[in-house]
This record gives sequence, structure tokens and C-alpha cells, in this order.
Amino acid sequence: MMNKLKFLNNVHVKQIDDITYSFLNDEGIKLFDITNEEFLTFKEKLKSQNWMEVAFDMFYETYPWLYRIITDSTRSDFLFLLDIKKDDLALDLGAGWGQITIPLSRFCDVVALEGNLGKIQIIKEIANQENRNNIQYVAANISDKVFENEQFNFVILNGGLEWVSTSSKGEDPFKIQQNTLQNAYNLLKPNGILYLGIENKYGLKYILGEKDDHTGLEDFIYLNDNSIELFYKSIIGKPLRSFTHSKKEYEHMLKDSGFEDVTFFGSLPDYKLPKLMIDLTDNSCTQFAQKNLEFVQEFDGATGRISKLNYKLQNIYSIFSPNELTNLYPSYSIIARKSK
Amino acid sequence: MINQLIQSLKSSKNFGNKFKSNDTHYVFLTSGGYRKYDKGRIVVIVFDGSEPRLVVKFYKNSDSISNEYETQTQIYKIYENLITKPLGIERINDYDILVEEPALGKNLTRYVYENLNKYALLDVFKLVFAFNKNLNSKLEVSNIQNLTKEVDQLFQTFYSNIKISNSHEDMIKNLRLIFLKNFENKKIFQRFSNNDFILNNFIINKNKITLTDFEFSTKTHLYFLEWFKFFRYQWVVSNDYIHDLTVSEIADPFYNLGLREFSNYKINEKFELACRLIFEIFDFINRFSISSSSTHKTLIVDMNKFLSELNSRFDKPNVVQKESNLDSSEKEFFNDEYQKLIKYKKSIDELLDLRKSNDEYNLRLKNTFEYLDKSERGFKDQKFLTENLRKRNDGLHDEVVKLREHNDELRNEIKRLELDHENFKKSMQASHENFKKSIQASHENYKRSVESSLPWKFARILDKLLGKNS
Repeated sequence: MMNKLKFLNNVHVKQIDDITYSFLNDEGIKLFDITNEEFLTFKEKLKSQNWMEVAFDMFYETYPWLYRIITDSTRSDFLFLLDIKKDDLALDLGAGWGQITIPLSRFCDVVALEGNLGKIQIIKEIANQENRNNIQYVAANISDKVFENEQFNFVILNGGLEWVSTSSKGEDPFKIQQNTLQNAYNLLKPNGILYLGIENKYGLKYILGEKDDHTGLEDFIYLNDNSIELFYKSIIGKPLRSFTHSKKEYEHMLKDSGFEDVTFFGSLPDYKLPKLMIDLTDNSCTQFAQKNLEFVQEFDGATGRISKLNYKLQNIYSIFSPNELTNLYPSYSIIARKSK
Repeated sequence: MINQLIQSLKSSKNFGNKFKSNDTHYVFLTSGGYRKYDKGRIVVIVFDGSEPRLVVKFYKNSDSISNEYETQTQIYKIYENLITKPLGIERINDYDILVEEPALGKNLTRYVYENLNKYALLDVFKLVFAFNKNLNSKLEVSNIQNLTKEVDQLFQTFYSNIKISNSHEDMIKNLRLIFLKNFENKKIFQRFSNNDFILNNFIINKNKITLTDFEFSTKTHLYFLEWFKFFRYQWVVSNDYIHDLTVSEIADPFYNLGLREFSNYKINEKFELACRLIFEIFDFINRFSISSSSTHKTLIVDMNKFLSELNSRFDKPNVVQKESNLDSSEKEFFNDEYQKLIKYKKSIDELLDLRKSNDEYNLRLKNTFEYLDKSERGFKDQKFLTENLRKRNDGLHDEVVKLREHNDELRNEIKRLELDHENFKKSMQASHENFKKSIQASHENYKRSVESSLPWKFARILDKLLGKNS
């Protein structure tokens, strides 16, 4: 028996079936990673074919980065950083293709929140193929306030915070990000955990000129927020809505939202497909990894291609002190705990 | 989970004494994303203070890791100083956790990258070779039947995972025979191998190397193919350079064979091809067993490509493709390395060139668009005029049509009026005639009635009588 979800009284919820609720007026946010036609083909093929094979047939050659994002089994490995109990309830904010939701459901009951109703249908079909039956689905935007407070043990925001402002117009994107963290804090039970997987705008690869994962622009994301907004508007011709921050900034944002206990892991090559996660609470782990472990090849997060800067990175990482290095990892896995 | 796991280890009988402080941290390593979920593997290096105390390994889907532990323990008993020490298995939160002692030192891939000069490189490869020799010092006697059985078992598993074309199948059969024939009338041995004998699975510390990772360990007759694995999966130094560096220093048939196969020194000698085939099949099976269903497809594609390449070599004469030259391969390797280092710059230059040509193209495009704009504007102007003229013309046309219609109506009206007039005239004439006739008739009638009247008759008679004429 799954945990019963409690929604706010003042929002209109449409119950689609026993496990699916929608707060959207239509299909929801636009698909940004595939076309509508690809979506329909994917959905159709899922009826008769294993989801991984469908992903292989459709994207392995034409869109290899998406193929990896959908099928790579390391995508959800950060879950092992969390102490999840079987009777816990976790909320996956921005469930996408279900790459976190489904492995997470092996640990505890899960609520998958996704802004596109079509994507929810896909996650449901994949979950069905994987025999997962402890997932509930909510169609809503990440920044929407639909749940009653203090009902989740975990809130997962893996690759979601940076995008959260893109589905709204006009409002201050930083404020939306801050409100989202505040909302996550409110949704958590006392002692609950928010997991945040996100890039570091001062990652060494970005400073050396690697493309920003969200805009695809080189030598860009490490500039100050005001400059990147102006540059982006001038280059692309529309306002920038996607922002990443530094380790210190994330720390401030989380503390401002009420989280008292915040732990950072340096994720390499990236939080999306981690090979190595280093506990940054103590420099000994950073130093050990810096001196002894194999160099982890980094990639261009916009296309997933192996970075041309790897040879440079490999040499330059070694010149920093562990303390300096903690601010230069390309991305972070962050565990923020709500106090008891 | 990791925190709970560390706390459990700290409070366990077996491992509690490993921890000297309350200050624990960890480094978390994941296995390749190509694996299926239940074969995904996590390795955690647990630190106590600043020292790595334990290494823990487990499968993501709580699969048992006890077989690996048992094999590693057997191997450790034979090769105590060469491999990491397995400490035990713990059951924590429904997961089987393999705990081993950390090998202190540097990952060998990293070490090689940081020590690329030829003297250091030679030392490393001699060290690895000596390590392998140490492994071979504890061989178990076996026989050709057991070797054949192991090879056939491999082929059976291979064929159950992949469909092979007829031409490839013939080649595979031939190479299998060539491989086995080579061992006829020779002493046959077997030993444990981790079947993952790669640079990356070694830790080096003060000229001592330690082998880690025993996931695929088995006792095998094919241990000598470890060199194929070693040279296939090392990318830090070019195998051509290693070949030229070690060819006069390391004289071992399988070391040289494996190295040649993954360098430009490969030859088409049949036994060499046979060894390569057996190795590739062995490797394919290991990788296939842990891969996701989508990765299976790529493995099959790659295997078919390899078989085609091998097939073409099988039919070619055995020629030495390259003459060994250390200076030249060293130079080539470092040039390549430098090119990799400045690759980003080149790509920036390429990008700048691209941007320049893009700018030129944009300018041309802009000019073209301006021209098109002008033409379009002219066209629009003309179109506007034409449309207005057409509108006016249409208006006039409508007016003319209306006038014509009106004219026709008028004409009809006139005709109708004329007709009416004629009719009227005719009717007037007719009525006049009728009237005249009726007048005449009535006059006649009147005359007749007068003449037939008595007074008239009386008057006539009277006239007659009086002598008057009528």
C-alpha cells in the first residue's frame, strides 16, 4: 500500500487514474529533448519492445548523448549516498525519462513529478516493464506548489534547479530557484533530505573554455550573473532563464531556505553520469583522489562529447590545493538536511 | 546507504578495530554505465581521518558478491603479496558487502601518465611483466582435453549470444583448430586469473604493484591471453612506443604477441590470429554477461566488425608491416601527445576560421537578403499597385457590368414600352376601329330602327304624298 498523497486544498487536481494526478491545464511544458514525432514513435514502440532497445534504435546513432542520458546505469548511482529506508516516501522533482524515479523505487515509494503529461506516460510504461509498482505520478511544474507540507522523507532535484525558471516568464529566475528550494524544504518531513545534483559554474573545465551545459556557449558561464544575462540576450536574442552557481552560492541558497546541514560531493565527470564522487567535508578525500586515482575524462555537457580540454585538465588539476580544488569540480552532488 | 554501511562496519566485530577516530569520509566510485542495473557495481574507499582504511564493494541490486570474495580469497592464498587482501563479507541492509584492505599507492594508469620518460616507462612495463611472471610461477598442471573443453565452452556461450555469418563461422572453425593444434604434445597448465589484467587495475607504491578487482576471476587455461587484455585496454602510451621500448628487454611470446596485435606491428600469422580471436571471444562473453540489453547491440556490432577484419587478415600473406625504431616511435608518441594537449587550441582556431567564414557567409547572406528584401519590397509595391489597379479595374468592370445591365434593362424597358406603345396603338386602333364600327353599326341600327319606326314610315308616306324625295 503506497503512501497517500496530500495535496493543497486551494489547487485544482485532476485524478487521471489511481496513481496519476494532474495540475496542468493542457499537456504541460514543451518537450525540449525530442520532437513530438519522436515522442510518439518512442511511446508506440514501448508497447512491444524493451525501453532500452527502443532508446538504442532511436537515439544511439542520431542523438548519442540523449541515449546515454536515458540508458546509462550510473545516472542514479548518487542514490547510494542517501540513507533511504523502505518505508520512506521520496519525491523526484522533474522526473524526465524516469532515470532516477525507477531506480529510486527499488529503495522506497516514489512520487514522480514531471511537467509534461506525455513524459509521465513514458515513465509509467518503463516502470511497468521494470515491474515497479510503488510509484505515483504528478503532472505539474517543479515550481508549482501542489503538495501539503512535510510529507516526504526525500526530495530529489537532480538536474532540475537550473531549469526551473525556464517554464515561467517575467519573474526573477533567481527568485524562482530560491522559492523552489524553499518549497522543497517545506515539503520535507523534519530530518528529511534534499538531494541536489547540479553543475558548478566555476568548474575548471568551464573556466578553461568548455561549453556551458545549458546554453552551449563557451567561455560564458563563469562570468558574473549580470554579464551572462546581458551577453546571452545580445548573442541569443532572448533573456537567459537557466542559471548555475558556485559551491558557496549553493550553500547560501540552501541555508537561506532553512537547511542547516549541507554536505557537498565533487562529482566527476559530472553529476549526470558520475564515475567518481568525492566527499568534500574533508580535504583528505580530495587529496587522495587528486594524487592517486585515475583521471576521469570530462565531457562537453551540451553534447556529451569527450572534452578537448581533458589533456589540459589532467595536468592543471594537480596544481591546486585540495581546498582550492573543492571549488573547481565540474559539478556537485549536494545533500541538504532539514533539522529535526 | 554508504553512511549506514560505514556505521555498521565501525560497530562490527570484524572491522570496528580498523577505525581509530570518529572522523570518517569516503570516495565513491561507480562502474561503467554500459552495465545492466543488477550488474552495476559500487566501490567505496572509506577514510578514517586522512587514511584510507577499507575498500568496500557491492552490487547495486543486492546481488551476492560472495563468489568473488571466495575466489579472491583463494587467489590471495596463492599470491599473498600480489593482490589486495579480502577481509570479509558483511550483510548490511540486505546487501552483500565485500570488504578488502586498501592498496595504498597510485593508480598505475595515472602513474604512467605522470612518468612518460622512457626509463620510467621501461621500469613500469618490466614491473608488470615481472608481476605476470610471478603469477605464472604458480601454475597447475592440466591437459589438452581440459583446454579444449574450456575453449569449446567459450564458443558455445559465444554462439548463444551472437549470430555468425557462414564465412565467419568457417574462419572461426579454422582458427580454433589452429589454436588447439599449437598446444598438442605440449605441457598444459592453468592458473587463476582476474581476467581483467589491465593497467587501471594496478596500484603502484614504491616500485611494488598490487592487482585489484577480481569480479571476473576464474581458474583458466587461457591465462597467457592476459597480455591481449592488457594492451587492448591501455591508452596512456602508444603500443608502438611500448613495443620499441621493450622489444629487446622482454622476451615472452605471449607478451610480444599481445603487444603486436594492438600496435602497428601486427602480423597475419595464423596462430596470432587464433589467439586474438579466442581473446576477443573471451572478452566479449565477460562484457556481454554484465551489459544492458542496449549495450548488447553495440557489442554484437563491434564483434561483427572485428570478425570481418580478422577474415580479411586471414586471407592475406603474413608480412611485417613496420620496422622497429625507438627514436621514431618515441618522437611520434610525444608529438601526438602534444597535439592532444593543444587540440583545444586547434579547435579554437578551427572555430575562429569557421566563425570567420561564417561571418563572410552571413555577410553574403545578409546582402542576398537585403537584395531579396528590396526585390520583395518592389514586388510588394508592384503587387500593391497591381492589386489597386486590379481593384479599380474590377470596380470599373463591375460598374460597366452594372451599367450594361442597367442599359439592358433600359433597353428592355424601351422595348417593353415600345411594345406597349405598339400594343396600345394597335389596341387604340383596334378600339377606334371597333368604336367606329360600333358607331357605324349603332348608326345603322339606329337608322334601321328609325326607318323601321312608325313615325318614320308615316313621314315617308307623308313625303310621298306631298311629293318630296328622301
